[in-house]
Order: sequence, then C-alpha cells, then structure tokens
Amino acid sequence: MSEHRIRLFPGTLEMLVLQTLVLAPRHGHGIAVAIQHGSHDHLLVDHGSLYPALQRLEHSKLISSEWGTSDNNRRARYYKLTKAGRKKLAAETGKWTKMVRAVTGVLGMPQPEEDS
Amino acid sequence: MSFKRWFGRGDADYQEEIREHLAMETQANIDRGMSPEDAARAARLSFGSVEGTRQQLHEGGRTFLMNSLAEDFRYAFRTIRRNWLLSCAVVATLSVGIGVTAAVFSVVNGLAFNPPVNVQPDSFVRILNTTRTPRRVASVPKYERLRTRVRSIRELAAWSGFLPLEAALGSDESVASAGGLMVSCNFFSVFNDDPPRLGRFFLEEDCAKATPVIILNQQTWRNRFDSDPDIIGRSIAFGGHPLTVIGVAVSPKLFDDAAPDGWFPYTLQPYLKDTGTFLKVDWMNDEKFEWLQMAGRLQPGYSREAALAELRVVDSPDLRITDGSVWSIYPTQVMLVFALTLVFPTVVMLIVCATVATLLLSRAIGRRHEMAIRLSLGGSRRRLVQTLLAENFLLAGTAGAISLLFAYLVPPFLLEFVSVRNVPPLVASLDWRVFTYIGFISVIAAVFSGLSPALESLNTHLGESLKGRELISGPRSGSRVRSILIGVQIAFSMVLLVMAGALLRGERRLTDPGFETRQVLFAMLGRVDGSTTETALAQGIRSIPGVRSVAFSKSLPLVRENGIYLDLPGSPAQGILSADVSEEYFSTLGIPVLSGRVFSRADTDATSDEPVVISQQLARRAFPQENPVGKFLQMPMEKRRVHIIGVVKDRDTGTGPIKASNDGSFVYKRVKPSEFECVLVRFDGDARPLTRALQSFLKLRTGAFVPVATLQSSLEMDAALLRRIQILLTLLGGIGLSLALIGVFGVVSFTATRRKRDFAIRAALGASRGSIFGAIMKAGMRPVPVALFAGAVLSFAALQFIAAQRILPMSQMWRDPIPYLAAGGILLVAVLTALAFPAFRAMSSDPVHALREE
Repeated sequence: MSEHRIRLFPGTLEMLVLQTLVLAPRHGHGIAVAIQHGSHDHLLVDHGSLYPALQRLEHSKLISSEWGTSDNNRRARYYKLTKAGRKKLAAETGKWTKMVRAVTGVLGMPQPEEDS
Repeated sequence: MSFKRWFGRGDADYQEEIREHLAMETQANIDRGMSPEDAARAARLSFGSVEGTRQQLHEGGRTFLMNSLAEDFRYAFRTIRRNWLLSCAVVATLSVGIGVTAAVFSVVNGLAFNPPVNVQPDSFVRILNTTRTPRRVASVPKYERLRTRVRSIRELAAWSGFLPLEAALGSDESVASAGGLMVSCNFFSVFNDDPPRLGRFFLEEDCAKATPVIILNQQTWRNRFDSDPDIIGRSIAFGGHPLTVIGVAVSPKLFDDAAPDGWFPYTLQPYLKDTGTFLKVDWMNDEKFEWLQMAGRLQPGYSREAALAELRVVDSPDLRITDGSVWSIYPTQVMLVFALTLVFPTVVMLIVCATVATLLLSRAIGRRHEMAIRLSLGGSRRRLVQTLLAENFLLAGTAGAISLLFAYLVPPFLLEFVSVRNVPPLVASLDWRVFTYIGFISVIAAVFSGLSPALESLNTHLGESLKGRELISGPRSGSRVRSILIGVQIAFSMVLLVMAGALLRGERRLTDPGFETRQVLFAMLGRVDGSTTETALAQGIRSIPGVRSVAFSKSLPLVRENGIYLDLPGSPAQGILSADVSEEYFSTLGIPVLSGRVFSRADTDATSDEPVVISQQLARRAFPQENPVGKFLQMPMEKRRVHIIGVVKDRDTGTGPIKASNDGSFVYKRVKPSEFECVLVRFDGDARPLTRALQSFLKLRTGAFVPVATLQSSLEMDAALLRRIQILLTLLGGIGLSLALIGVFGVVSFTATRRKRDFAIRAALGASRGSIFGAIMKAGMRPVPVALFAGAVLSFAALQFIAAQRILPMSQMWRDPIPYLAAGGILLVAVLTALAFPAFRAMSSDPVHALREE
C-alpha cells in the first residue's frame, strides 16, 4: 500500500497544515489524520515530521496553539489559524493552483505520435 | 507566562504532545481492531523517528541557540582542560600574535585620537580652517577680535607655527640655531597639563607690554643649560636680542610640530624681526596674513557645536572646531599610519593563525573517530563545526584578554624605543577602540585558526572511521590543507625577513639623500667676523691636499633649512623650503644642474631681483609646460621678485616629518658674503686625515676650536631610527620564523608518526632507510618552493608600497636582490633542519616494532 504513496514537495506540508485548520482548530494527531484522509491515503507523511512544521508555523505567527481536551478526553495541544495564517494560506493556494494548472497544461499538450 | 512568551514552549511541552499523539494513534489502531502491541508498534511506525523529531523540535526552539552555545562552551572547556598542554601552547602563540598587533594599535590609537591635553580634555577645542591650510587660522587682529567677542570659549589661545630661527641661544655657540613658538600669554592656561618646572608662565601684561621674556622648554634647559637651577631671571641672548628667562616648562603635545626650544609672547614679533627669514616683516597689524593657530577651552555649559556656531557668526564661516586630536586634523595621514604600522603585526598574526591551525589540525585528525560517531548519531555538521569552533573562541578569547596586557604595558616601551627625537610622553589608554580592535582580531584569529581543523575533523569516511581503521595515508585533502598552511607561514616569514634585510641594507643607502654625504666634511663656524672672507677661507682650504672643492652655506643641509614665501602661478604665498648657498655648493654636494646655470660672483650684488636656482620639483609645480629658466616669481613678504637662473636635480628637503610633509620643492639663494655659517668641503680619499687637517686650519684662521665631521655623521640620527625599526622587524621576523618552524616540525613529525605503519611495511618489503628519509623530506618540502616564491613576490610588493609612501628615507630598496636571497636561504636551511629530525626518527625506527604495535 505504501509503495504508491508519494512524498511531498518541500514546503507543501506547511500549506496542507494551514488548510486543515481552516474550519476549526485541531490537535497534531487530528491534522495528521485529516491530511491522510484528504489525500485518500496517497500522501506519505510521517506524523513525526508534522511537529517541526507546526513549530515553524507557530514561530512565524501563522498559527497559535493552546492546551485543550480532545473528544476522547485526552489532553491535547490545539492549533488555530491566525489572521496572518489565513492570508498566507490564500496566497499560497492561489500560487499552487496556478502552478498546477500551468504544469498540467504543458504536460497535457498533444504529444507527437508516441505509444502510450 | 512572560518567560513562555519570550522563549516559546519548552522541550517538556513538546514531549508531552508527542506522547499524547502516540497514545491517540494507538487508540485509533485498537479501534480498528489491532491487538494493543501491534497498535503501539504501528503508531510508532507511522510517526517515524521519535528521537529525531524531539531533537528537531529542540533545535528549532527559541532557547536552543543559547542552550547549545552554553553546552558547546562547557564541552570546549572540558576539552581544553583535558589537553591543557596543547591549549597552553595555543593560547601562548595566539597571545603573541594578537598582543603584537594590539600593542601597535594601542600606540597609534593613543597618538591619533586623544586631544592634546590630559586635564579636562572635554573642554578642549582646536579651531581649524576648512580651507587648504587648515592650521593657520588667524591674523593678529582677527585673533584679538575673536578673543574678546566669543563668549562660549573661556580661554582662546594662539600660537605661531614652529619657527626655525637662525639665532644662537644663550652662550652655546656650537648650536647656531634654535626654534621657538610665539604664543599668546594664555597659551599655558589652555595647555595646562603640567605646572611650570621652574619659575612661572606668562602673565597678560607680558603680552600687553611685549616684555622680552622667554619660557624654556624643559628639554632645552636640560640639554643646553645643563639643568641650571638658577636660570630664572637670567638674560639669554636670542639672535643678539636679550630675553629674560621667566620659566621652564614641559612642551605640550602639539603633535604637528617639532618641539620648540622656547616660547615667547607673540607681541615680541616686531622685536625679534631680524632673527629669521620668516620674521622679516611686521605681522602685528597685518589683517590679511593669517599665521596664528588657535585652540581654547570651552566655557562651562557650552558645547563644541555652540562654540562653532558662535565663531561662525562672529567671524568666518570657514572655521571648524575639533577636539584637537591628530585624527581631527590629518585624518588621511592617520589612516595611512594605521595601515603601515599594522602591516607587519598583521603578517605575524597570520603566521600565528597558521601555526595554531597546524597544531590543532594534528589533533583534529585524531578526533575523526569521535566526530564519526556523533555524525552517525544524527548530529548536524553545522552544529559540530559550532561545537569545535567554540573551543577556538575560548582559546582566542583568553589570548585576547592576555593581549590587553600587551596593549597596556608595551606602548610606552615601544615609543621609548623607536623615538629618537623627543616624542611627548604617551598615556596608554585602553579605550573602546582598543577593546573593539582586540575583540575583532580575536574573532578573526579564532575563525582563521579553527575553521580548517574543524572542517578537517569532520572530513571522515564514516565507515572506515567507525571501524577504527583510518586509511593508511588518509584522505588527500587533509595533507593539502596542511601544505597550504605551512606554505602561508613560510611565505609570510619570508616577507618579514626580507623587510628586515632590506632595512639593514637600506641603512647604507639611506644616507643618499640626493647628494654626496660620505666624501663631504662640514664645519659650523657660526657668524664670522668681517676679516674672514669666503675667498680667503676657500683658498686656504683648497690648498689642503685631497680637497676637491669648497662651498659655503648658511645652514647645514637637511637640518633646519630656511623657507621663503613665493607666489606660484595659481597659488599665492606658498611656503617653500630654501637654502642660502655659494656657487660651488652644487658641485661640492654633487647635485647635477639640469638646465640654466648656478650662481656666479656677479650675483652677490644683485639689487632688485634675487637670482635663485630651483629644484626640478618646483619647476614641475610652477611651470609644468615651459622652461622656468629666465622666469620671475613674486616674493609677497619682501615685495621683491626672484629671477630663476637654473634648475637642479631634486634632493631630500629635510628628514623625517619635514621630508614627509614636503613635495621636494626647493629654492637656493646666493648666500650673502658675510652670512655663511657652514663650510662644506668635498674631498677624495680617507676622511680622517682631512678632518684633522681642516680642523687645525680653521683653528689657525678663527682662533677657535671648530668641530669638523662628515655630512654622513649628521644624518646618523635618521640611521639610528632606521636601525631601531630594523631591530623590531628582525624581532618580528624571528618570531615569525620560529612559529613557522614549530608548525613545520609539528606537522611533519605528526605525519611521520601516522605513517609509521606505512613506512614499516615499506621497510619490511625491502625499502632502504635512505628512501624512507627521502620520502619524508620530499613530502615536507612540497609546499616550500611555491611558498618561497610567493613570499618573494609579496615582499617585493610590500617594499615598493613602503617606498612609495616616502616615510622611510630610502628609495629603490626593492631592487636589491640580496635580502631576498638571504631570507630564502635562511628559511630553506631552517625548514630542512626542522624536517630532518622527524625524518631521521622515522628512518631509524624498527619496522618489526612498529608493525607489532598495531
């Protein structure tokens, strides 16, 4: 199953993390699960690599965090988007879609006769 | 709370979060139907490396930088204690390197940036022009106007530039000239560091009434009046004018002039009018002629800016106010002096860094095993370099602290040693500039000496190193770094040695100031009476066998020569150095005539226009495009013209600072028949018999004993200065050389030990001992030829640069091949000797023994 999972481009993890927080604050585990589900298990993300990313985002004031209680009554650190985080996410998403469209455009060009 | 806001979350916080994450994942897995053990395992797997994440979070934390620095320094401290012998060697070496440059810096710093007074330096102001003649700012009427009107300056003093007066001082006839400053009577209230040694300072009425009084410089009082305690109240002759001594004082630190023999009220100017060319005209009421320099003390509560604003309102917008330091008057010169004096210490510093680097390099390679373990445990290379450099910062920091002592203690000795003429005593002050400089240099030393060893210890083949088996000859790059370091040391040692050698050789050429000095005798006759005529003297002297020609002049060449003012095209009233000479002066001193002619008998009775011979440089300056012979120039003071009759080759126009501040422009006038005081005699052969013959001839003629000597001996003062600089350089060269040798020796013996097994195998396979010896020597000598060549090129460039600055009285010294050859030879022999020891040891070791040791 993990063979056809793809590794993330550097820098995209932060964007994904921000996206998972758009609707509501989540804890680290929740973010990991959300990314996994959202990508239909196609993305390979070590849960461990999430935390340094969260730390970086928090240092650059894009998210904030505080301790809370999870659904199953465990202590958990909840992360929340800040205003700057929302702005950043919008900008990054725009850039990403543009790039994806451009790249697919080029790749989708009619190919000279080549077997499939 | 505020702690958290500043430093973010701590490690424990993250740790708890990770623990909770794993628990949640495990729970989720159990919910999916896994057994608890499998669930925990799967949770760990999907998390990745818990330890790695924790480390990453730790390093990303805000407190990390400080914590890790503290850790690194603790670690460095332990390493230093473990290797205390090596560490002491490193600190000692670095202290020498940093200390030498710190001491030199602190000398120049002390001379350049301090106001010239020690008592309340903050209230001191020096007033300068923004124009091209910065120092002479006021005529007498202007000075008196400013003094009465400017409220923000409590005491405003004025003084003339150094006046070389051709006046005998007291009864001491052997020294025919003395120099003095004409000062306002509050001069010593502004420069009030020292009380009068004897007697009193000036009173206002001395200036108001122009009383003929003088305060003697302590030095002059000591040298010429034998520290006579009863001198106060005595009348001494100053160029025939009696002056009453009212005091003896220490010269203030006016760095920009030679120390005067005495000070007298500026209102005495008309009284002393005919004692020197500079004093021919009455300056007291001349509104235009600005000959006074000014300095003062601020009224309490006023700033320099306020004083400047007031000065500009009261008088001229061209004035500026400074703290009076040399830096504020001559910034470019100060920069130059900094650059020049720091060149050699910097070279020594580089050698020191290279030596320390080689010392540490040997250990760095020993550390590869440890580094390999740390790298394989996931330490980042950057972090390890930081750890390794921390040790160097600690060592260099200690060395820097030690060199503060150098910077504090050495400068007085250094000045004492170098100064031949009287330099005012220096208070070595450790100010922020010295601290900054030492800090800066220490950081540089730490990085220079530490970076390559640090990188070297990380340059490992992980696998080999972990197995405890280094490649026998090690990665090639390591030995290249060592070669380069050794090369750098040898090259810079060569620079120092060549410099010292060039100075040693230059001392002989120094005495080539552009005219003959060895084959010329001089005698100072003082003022001669009418019965001793030039013709009679010349005839008599020429009859002495061996004498080629005889010339007369008013003063000794290079020493206290005169000056006149000339209006040059485009720049009026330029002060040009001058000498009064007879017609045979040029042939006697061997100064070639380039165009026109020299004086003739007929020139002595020229009435309206003064015939002059000028130097090539003045010709270039005044008449760049045309032939100057036959042209006229105006003398603004005398209201007469000079008529240029010839141009002669340039010669030095003075020694030391006078030479450095002049471009070589020079004017020769015909000495008036009864005004010559100096006889110059060109001779062939040995000086000694002629000296005696001339002495007895002069004794017969004048009835007095007249000292006779070669011009060469009168230049000995400069030679002495040069000799001391050369001693210092040789000392530095010696330090550099021995450091370089320590480096060479250390590296080669280290390599030899490391390759012991290699050599043992070779010996066991039948290599001769000679070939092993040869292999070590060859490896050691590899960087030497390139280094020697680079050293030669560098010293060539350095010598040329120094010659171009015209600071040392010598020229063309870079052309002399001897210093290069000598320095190269010395280094070669020294390096070979240093190599021979380890090579010999390796050669004579028992191969079986070496192999069994493994």
